[in-house]
Amino acid sequence: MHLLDLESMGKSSDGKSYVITGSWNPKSPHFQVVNEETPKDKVLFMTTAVDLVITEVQEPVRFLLETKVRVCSPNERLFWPFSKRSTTENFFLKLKQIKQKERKNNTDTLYEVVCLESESERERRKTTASPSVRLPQSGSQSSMIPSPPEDDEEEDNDEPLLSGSGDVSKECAEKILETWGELLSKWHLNLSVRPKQLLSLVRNGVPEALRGEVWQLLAGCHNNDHLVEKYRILITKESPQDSAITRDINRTFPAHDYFKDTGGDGQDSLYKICKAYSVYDEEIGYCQGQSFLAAVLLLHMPEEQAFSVLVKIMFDYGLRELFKQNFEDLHCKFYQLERLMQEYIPDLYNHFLDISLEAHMYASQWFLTLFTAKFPLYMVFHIIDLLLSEGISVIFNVALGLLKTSKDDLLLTDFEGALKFFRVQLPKRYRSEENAKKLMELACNMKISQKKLKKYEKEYHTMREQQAQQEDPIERFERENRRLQEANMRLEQENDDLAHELVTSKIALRKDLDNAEEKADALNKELLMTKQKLIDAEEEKRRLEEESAQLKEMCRRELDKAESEIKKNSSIISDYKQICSQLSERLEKQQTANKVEIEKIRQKVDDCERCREFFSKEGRVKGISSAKEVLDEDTDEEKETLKNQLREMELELAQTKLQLVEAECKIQDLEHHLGLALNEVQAAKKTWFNRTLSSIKTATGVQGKETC
Amino acid sequence: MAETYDFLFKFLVIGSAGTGKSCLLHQFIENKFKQDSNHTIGVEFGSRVVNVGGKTVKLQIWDTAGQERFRSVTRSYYRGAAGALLVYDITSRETYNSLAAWLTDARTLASPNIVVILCGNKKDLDPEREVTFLEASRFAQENELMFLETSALTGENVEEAFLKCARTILNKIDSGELDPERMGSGIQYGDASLRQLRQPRSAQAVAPQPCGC
Repeated sequence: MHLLDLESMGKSSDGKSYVITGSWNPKSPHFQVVNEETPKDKVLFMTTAVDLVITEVQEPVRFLLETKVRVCSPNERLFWPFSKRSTTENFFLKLKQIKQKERKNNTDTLYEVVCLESESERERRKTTASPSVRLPQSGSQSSMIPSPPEDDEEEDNDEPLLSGSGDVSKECAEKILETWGELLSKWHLNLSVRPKQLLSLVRNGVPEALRGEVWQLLAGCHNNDHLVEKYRILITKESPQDSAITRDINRTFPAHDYFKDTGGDGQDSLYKICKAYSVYDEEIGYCQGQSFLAAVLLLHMPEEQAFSVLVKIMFDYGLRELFKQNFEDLHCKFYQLERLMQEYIPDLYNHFLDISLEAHMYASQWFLTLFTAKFPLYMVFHIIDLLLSEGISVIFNVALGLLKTSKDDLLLTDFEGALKFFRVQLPKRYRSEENAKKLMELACNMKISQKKLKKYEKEYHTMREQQAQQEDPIERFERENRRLQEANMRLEQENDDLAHELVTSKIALRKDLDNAEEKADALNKELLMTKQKLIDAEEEKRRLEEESAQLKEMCRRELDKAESEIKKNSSIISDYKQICSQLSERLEKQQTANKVEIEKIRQKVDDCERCREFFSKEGRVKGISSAKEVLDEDTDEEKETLKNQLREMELELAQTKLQLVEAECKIQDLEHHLGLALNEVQAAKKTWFNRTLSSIKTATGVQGKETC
Repeated sequence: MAETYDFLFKFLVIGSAGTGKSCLLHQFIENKFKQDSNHTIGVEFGSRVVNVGGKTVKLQIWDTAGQERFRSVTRSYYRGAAGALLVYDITSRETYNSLAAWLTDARTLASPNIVVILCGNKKDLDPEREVTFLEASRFAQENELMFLETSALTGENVEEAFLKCARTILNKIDSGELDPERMGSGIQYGDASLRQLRQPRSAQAVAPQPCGC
């Protein structure tokens, strides 16, 4: 036991798993044994252990992975085919809850480990009868969950078996492995020559773990690097059958874990292989059924290698011949099968004749998919072993084997029963590995000579020729004629439809055009009107602009006027202010002059002894002395009277003036009256005089006449 | 097989790949939807006895591969078919567009009197519909087909499609339009005595030959 240095520990980038990485020091003496080539007679095992501390479990739990190891020299081909898929091991951990009283604190639930077992250990325990060795899990199958064996009872209904069902164990007796190991190392010395024992070894089935490598060697893919290269280019190209492939991918091996998830790795690889092939082989392209074979190969090797083997099976083994020329070769195969039946199982052949059951009704899939579509994988893989080893004619061996073992059942059926048997019961029977093994044995022991097959093929072709010749030409022409008429009618109908469509669409277009023209006219009119409006509007605008300019001018003038007025006013105001200030200045001057005068007077008064008393120092006249008062009163009275007199006289004057004015008014009035009167008089005078004069005239005139 | 029936009709299910032909057949025979189905290679077969208008009729149904290239294989099954379900996928215009070619195949390779019912399958996927009911029914009318939209998932109209087709054939027999005695009519009397009368060799002639193109 050697403790590795921990390199890293933590969640993986996608957060789905927890990754612990450790590294070993190859120089450490512990690893001496894995640094040198493993001798042939030595078996090495390596155990990797990870101790995990799990919450609520007291002790760390140790997970062990044991594997057989073989160290090869760098120039030796890897014994185990490289696979990108990682090894998966499931562990079953059984825990027991520790009872309350045994625990020191009763806050957390605690468990102890009862047992820890890996899935492979469990399986080994189940099959301890044979001392088998678990192979290193180099590849694909470890992640498969085996279908439960109780399927047999459960599914004995009418449901047909799903494609891709059944688990294939990788276990194999050590002895067989050793034989294969020896054979392979011998084979690797010269890959172009198959070792002698190969044929018989393959007949017993290739160990599942070796299939990837053996199949590639059998198919002759060992120096096929150019095809691998080509594959990488092919998958980048577009396939015309892309939609057909996509549609079929999730209808291929839906029972298998690796292929059941839409968008999963399995379906993705399968899609790429089918697409690459459809581009690679333009004549055949993708054909329904291919995906099953591709899926079988994918379960054993990486995409590129699977593609190479598929190409080999199609071209070198001749599977693609079946798809060519309307499956002509397939029909030949059916004929060959029926002829073989006639020879090997005549009673069943006759029964099928009686119930009108023909090979193409049940055997199409057998040939087109190499039995991959309906049968359990264990059997499918074995058939591919044989096919790759012995060629495509093993289909006949297997088919005859199938028919032979089912003969007793089939003889009891009618037409429908037989077809149902082929569809449901037959594939189910081979879910048992024992049955499958027996069948393969039988198939291998069936000697079908190539010569015979050739003979039947020739027979078939002559028969076809005869048929073609025998056929009444009239009948043939009639048939042809009918077909052509039908096609003609269909085309005529189509033509009618199209013509009708054409007319209606033309009418519709015409109508649309008319509508559009009308609309255009209306729009034009509108446009013209709008243009006129625009012109009007522009004129109006210009007018308004002029007006506004005028108004502005006016406003400006008014404003100027107002401003000059304001200026004038303010100058007047300032003049007034000046005048006022001059006036107030003068006033002040006068006041001071007065004061000086008053001061003078006061001095004078002060000088005067008599007057002194009348004036206070403040300059006020004081009426203290009565004498002064009396005197003052006298003068006042005198003044008063004088004033009164003056007032009276003024009043008198005013009255006199008033009288004068009245008089003048009267005079005026009278003068006016006089004028009027004079006028009247004048007027009266005139009329009176005129009248008198005229009367005189008339009087004289009459007299004068009388006198003449 | 002690089944007794009055007639035996041979039916075909045809149409482009991925339209749900096998699922329709499975739904009709097993009364359930086939979740994980394989694509059909060559042909598959199913049969069921139904009661139509008081008569028991056995339907022998050939379910054909949809991929174009298999037509040369499936053509041999056309001969001797009395009725056909012509299936397209309402969510795929491509499958609808190829209907005319399928119909020509059916009318020329089977008898011209073959009774065809057009089935617009995947009715349950209405949100993804690409072919309207109206245009399909117009196509059906123009080509004298019966028409139903079906769903193999829910089972809607599946039984009806087969029964409608069978009923039409029975009516044609009653009216004398179809003669069950004629070779390649795809119709056989189911009466045990009559079945005995029919020699196996003549049945062979009725049944398709390996590649009769």
